[in-house]
Formats: sequence, C-alpha cells, structure tokens
Amino acid sequence: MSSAANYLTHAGMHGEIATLAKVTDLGTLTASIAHEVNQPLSGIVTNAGTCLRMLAANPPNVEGARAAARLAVRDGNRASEVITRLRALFTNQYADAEAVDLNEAAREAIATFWSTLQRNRVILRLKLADGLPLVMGDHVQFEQVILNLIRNACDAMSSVEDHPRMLVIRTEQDSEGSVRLSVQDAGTGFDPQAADRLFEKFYTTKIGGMGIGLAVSRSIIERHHGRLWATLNEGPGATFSFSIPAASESLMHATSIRELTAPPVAEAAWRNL
Amino acid sequence: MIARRSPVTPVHAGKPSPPLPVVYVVDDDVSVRESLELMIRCEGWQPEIFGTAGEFLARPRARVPNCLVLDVGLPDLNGLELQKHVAERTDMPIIFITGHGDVPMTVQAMKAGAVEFLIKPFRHEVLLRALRHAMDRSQAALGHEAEMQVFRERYASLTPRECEVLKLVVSGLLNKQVGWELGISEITVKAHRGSMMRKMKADSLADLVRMAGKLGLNPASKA
Repeated sequence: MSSAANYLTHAGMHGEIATLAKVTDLGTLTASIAHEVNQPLSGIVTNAGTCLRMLAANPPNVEGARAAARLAVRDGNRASEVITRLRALFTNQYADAEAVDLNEAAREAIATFWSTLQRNRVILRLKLADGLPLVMGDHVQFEQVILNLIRNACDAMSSVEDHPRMLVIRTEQDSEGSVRLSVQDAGTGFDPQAADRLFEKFYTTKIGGMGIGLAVSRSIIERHHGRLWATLNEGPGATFSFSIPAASESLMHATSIRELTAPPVAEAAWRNL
Repeated sequence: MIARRSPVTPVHAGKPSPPLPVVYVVDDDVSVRESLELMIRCEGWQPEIFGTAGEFLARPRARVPNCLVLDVGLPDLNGLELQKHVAERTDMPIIFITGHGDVPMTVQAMKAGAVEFLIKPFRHEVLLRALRHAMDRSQAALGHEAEMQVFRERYASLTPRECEVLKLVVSGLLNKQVGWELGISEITVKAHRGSMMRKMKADSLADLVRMAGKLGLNPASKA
C-alpha cells in the first residue's frame, strides 16, 4: 500500500504516534532520524580522531587539534539541535483553532525565509487572490507547511543556472469552495514514478535550516480536511499545492477541535538560525 | 587556523614542494564535509570538497594521485550512478560512505571496483587506511598510464616496415623466417630489427615482448 493511501485512511487518528505516522511507518521514521543524527556523529568521530592524531604528532600540532575539537563541539550541538527539533515536532500538544487568512500565512512564511531566498537568487512572484475566504486551523502549522513548500522549491532550483529561479506563490478559491495555495518552482522537478517517496520525508535539513517534511505537511493538511499534492509543470520544475475547505464548510466537517488541530510545532523548532 | 604543514609529512627546506595528492569529497552534509576536510589536510593531502555530484563532475581531472570519498545518497545523483560516470578514471579509486547500511548496495559498489564501503559514523583509522590504500592504487594506475604513453610514443616512431618486423619477431619467428614472410633478405631484416629495438628502447627480446603485450600487439591479441 503506498504511503499516499496510508495517509488517506489514517487522517484523523488520535494518539501521540499515530497522529503522524501509521504504525509500520515508524520504521521509516526511525531510519530517517538515525540517518540524520549519524551525520553530525560521523563528524564528531572524525574530528576527535583528527584531534588525537594532531596531538600524537612530533611535535604535537596543537592548533590543528584545537580546530578539530572546535568542529567536534559544533557537530555535537548540531546533533542535539536535531533531537530538540524532532522532539518539538512530534510532541502531542494541541494548538488553537482559529480563522486563518492563508494570504497572511504565506506572507509570514516568506518573511521568515526572505534572506535565504535572496541568498539563493530566487525571484518571487506573488499571486495572492483578493477576498480569499478564511480557513479554520492553526496559523503556525499552515505557515510551516507553506515554509516547507518554499524551502523545497528553493532547494529544487539550487542548481539552476540557465533560466531564472522563479518561485510563484498563488492563492485562489477553487470550484468546490475550497481555498487553494500553490508553490510553483522552475527547478529540477521530480520523477513521477517516485512521487510517493517525496511524501515520506518527515523533516528536511537542507537550505535554510531544519523544518517539517512533506510527510508532516500532508498530515497537517489532511487533518484540516484538505489535501496536498504535487504536479510537474509544462516547463521546468514542479508545483506543490494544497487545498483546505473554507471556514464555514469545515466547521460542518469537524466533529471536534481536537480532530482539527494536529500536534504542534514550537516556533523555535523550525525557525532557521 | 591549522598549521600549514602536516605533522606527518617532512618538509624539505629550500625545495619547491610537489603538488599534493588530492582527495575529493562529495557529501551533502556539512558536518561530514568539514570534518573530512580537516582530516585530509592534516594527513598532508589536498582536499577538494563538494556538496553535489554536479559540482564535482564539473571539475577537471587531477594529474596527481587522487581518490574520491563519495556519499551514496546525494541530492542530485545517486553515488552508484556517479561511480558509473567515472568508471574509466582508474586513477581515482572510490571510497563510499553512507548513513544507511544497505547490503545489496555495498556488494554492487564493491563489484564495480570501490576501495571501501563505510557506514557512518566510521572509525577514523578505518577511513585513513582506506585512503592510503586508494592513494597507492591511484599512484599505480598513474604510473601505468604514464608508462603506456611512453610505449605508444616509441611505437609511433617506427617506420611501417619496422612495425611489421616487430610483430613478426614477437610472434617468435627467426630473422630468416621474417625475411621469407616479408620478401626481404635476412640482412635487411637484421637492420630493421636493430633500429626497431633501438627506437623501442628494448633491452632484450623478452623486454620487447612485454611492451608489445601492453600495446596489444601480441599474436594472441591480433584480430
């Protein structure tokens, strides 16, 4: 069963672990965390080894040993940050449900990521609809999802040199009365055969620091009775979109506030340093 | 700032230092990249560090002994794919590193000629051993290539007749038999043979046979 199907059947489940992953996906999550922590650990082991070799030289290379030790400390902090952020991402606290303007959420996400966008020479085009209906939910979580999409778009364009690194963020109301937000990039696109794998990532540690991955984004959107999907553009790159029912309709769908809001993310967990 | 001299490489005062062997590192994690860069520099080699396969492939080939430390899971190109791209670079042995332990991948990588396949976090001395082994292999491959180039140049300096004489001589024919084959006198054969041996700088028939073998000229390898 593809993970896409998994999410559809398990959206709305309660419980600390189950809210974010089907039980068998725990294996994937664990492997994912292990891989992430192994990177700074590897740095520490290598740096400590280098430090010892420097000290064993004749005469001892104290400056070299000091540099290695400094790097090891930095790697240790990185590992600790990964754990802290992961813990914050997956702790089961509940956020408020309120009426959210996705245009505002988009602007917030962009403001957070602005310097990274500039540094990566991304050209931003905003096409935010006027009079966009509000949606019910947690504005922090919506911002996180949008940030995830923007971060991925930026990453997809990081090797683009022969055309502008255009990032288009669009909001509109679609035919079913839902509010849709899409993030279109001009990057390397994705392999349609491997589309499922895209949505398996629980967090990303690429450009602009650490943040939630598409698996969590999809979970958040589905908990808001919406859906998140990806399509390839006619030109270069891909477009990631999500749609959420407009506020009045979703109040009819929600059986409780608990069902509507998903496990949290402390702001500090995803602001990049 | 680390000292410019490595503690393990002696420095000869007054002599210009030869270019250092190069270790390429391609890994998308910053902790791994920077720790390897420091380690490589401290061992007295020249590190060249990249975050993507694309950046690495854009670099020209090194002329000195070199090797590649390659993460399997790169964002733009799978490490095993990259191995195929650089398969003809026998002077650049590959050491794979990965955050995942994947047996089929390990076997595939080793069969394709990798020096080592290490799982993060790997022990410092294990990587060091692999790097030294890789550098030895690179040195040998470069030496071999340099030798081949010399042989090719010598062979190219032969006249067509001298080439014919060379091929017949290494196939085991006596001078008079060579003469029969080519329709020339034994004395003429000896003259050609003499100048051919001089141009090839062969010390003996055995030496000539060895060179011919490397150039693919032996009768067994003739089409």
